[in-house]
Amino acid sequence: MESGLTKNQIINVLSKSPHGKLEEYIPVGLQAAQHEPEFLAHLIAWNALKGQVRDARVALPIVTLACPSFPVAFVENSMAHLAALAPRDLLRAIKFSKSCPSAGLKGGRMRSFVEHYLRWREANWNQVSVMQHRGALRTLYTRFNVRPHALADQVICKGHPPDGTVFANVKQLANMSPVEAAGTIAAQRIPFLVARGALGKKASDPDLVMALIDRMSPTELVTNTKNLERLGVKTNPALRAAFEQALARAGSSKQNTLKTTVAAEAIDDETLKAKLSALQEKQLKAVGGVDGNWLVLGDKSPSMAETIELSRQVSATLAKLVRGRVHLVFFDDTARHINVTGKTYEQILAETAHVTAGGNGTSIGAGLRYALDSGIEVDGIAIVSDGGDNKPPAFFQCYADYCKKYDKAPPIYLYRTDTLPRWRVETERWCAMFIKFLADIGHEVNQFDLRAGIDYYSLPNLVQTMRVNRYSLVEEILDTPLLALDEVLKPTKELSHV
Amino acid sequence: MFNLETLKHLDVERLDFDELIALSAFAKLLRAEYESASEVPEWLDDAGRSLKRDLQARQADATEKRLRELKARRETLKTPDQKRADIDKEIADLEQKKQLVGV
Repeated sequence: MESGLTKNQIINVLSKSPHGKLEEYIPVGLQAAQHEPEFLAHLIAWNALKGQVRDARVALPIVTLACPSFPVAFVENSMAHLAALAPRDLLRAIKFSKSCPSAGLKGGRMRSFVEHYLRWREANWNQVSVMQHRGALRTLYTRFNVRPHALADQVICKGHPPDGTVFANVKQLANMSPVEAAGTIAAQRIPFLVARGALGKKASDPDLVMALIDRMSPTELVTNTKNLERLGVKTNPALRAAFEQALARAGSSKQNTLKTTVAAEAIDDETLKAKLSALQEKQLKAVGGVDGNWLVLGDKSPSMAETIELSRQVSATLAKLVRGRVHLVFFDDTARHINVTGKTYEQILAETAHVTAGGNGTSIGAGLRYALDSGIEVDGIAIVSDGGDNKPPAFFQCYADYCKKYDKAPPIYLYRTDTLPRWRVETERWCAMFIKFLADIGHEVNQFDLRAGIDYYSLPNLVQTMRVNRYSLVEEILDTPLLALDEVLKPTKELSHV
Repeated sequence: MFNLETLKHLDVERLDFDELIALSAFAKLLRAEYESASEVPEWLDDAGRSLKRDLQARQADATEKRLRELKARRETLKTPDQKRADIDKEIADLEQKKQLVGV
């Protein structure tokens, strides 16, 4: 391919979370927009449906619009996905567009787009959304000189909502008794962040905590668990029930598995940790998408202590995502097997607690040879290693034997980790040979480059992109329909008042 | 959905209410089968007791929550006159209390 980037590499790079640094999408995004525009357009559509990283939803449409050669036929898809963003995210996207190298959607075109977006929201007045995004909406109106409709002007721009509306009630929350405020939040379905902001210090009253828990989104629930512990969610019966019910609701969410991972790590209390860990498992199951049986080859050779932990995490994530079997084999120059099918991270950790980095070199082939000799048949292989395959048996030979024995070529994914600085040059050479030998016999290695640091936050997103058929994810992405602007900003109706 | 291992290594904290109900039903079914075939294992009785205790506790919690929700809802339905009457009553109570302590 001209760009030097394969579709799988595009997916791998764009699946990682830049943690708000949207600029990180520009280099690869622009290359993809220039050389694989159709694929990138479908990737934007796929990411909106299945992706876990919100940053990509904000940044990728803007990157395509910043690419002068991006075909007009796909521009509407990018615009439609911008229009599908919540006001706060659209504002982020507009700010981000200023750091893109080319003009893209700027000036008059941008104003006209934003006006269309705002007019549609006025006609499809959603008071919950307005409450959540009032600040961003006000900025959009003023920055693009769009004259608001009378109600939008009163509520969003002037901050003087008509009496009797939910907006006026939000302003009164702080003056109500805790019980009445709790009832108002529940009855008027006031979003958590809005209610908490309006309540101030009063928000720690048990009746209000209970009402706030009920109004939390799954992400808000997990990110606030530590605070809720302090507010009595373990000791107060009503709060305990509210928390349990909220956890049950969050269990079916596919949107926040990454945040649940981080939240679980931040909790010290064992009971709450167990609850969040169980929640994460349910969310991963809900995400699904990965088929077949998998072999995780974890490098435990000298200096690979961090890789051992990463291998556990990859195995645990796979064990929840797939319906098939998952085998974890740790290797140095020998191999040790653990069947992790259906097991939780905690169970895997308990079983592998004594696995430490050591041995006499790195033989990824030893891990696969073990699987071959033990009759472990898999459909995909995930290798967690620095790739310094420097001891026999060579991986490519074992792989060729494996393909022959089972008459299939399981795709290979390499979670490539860093090594000690003094071994970097040599490891780089071994890894290049490892990849080249496989390429010579016609097999590609899909790499997740984690040398700059392991981001456990992005891990479920990376694992979710693995497929047993090397082309199936690409096909799945290309099959995702593009979005038209009219599908998002459907023809308007008359303004309905609150 | 559940296997024997879930029951043998029961951790109620990892299960939501619906799962507890389903597991409790599974445990009862299993107990009946054991009774007709051989002796009921100790772990099954322990798990059954643990499930029952947790289910009762969660039901009590849920009742408490619902009660608070309804009281809060009732509060929002009060007219301004009713609210005024509540405030008047609270003022009267406080004044009475103040006289009692001789402030």
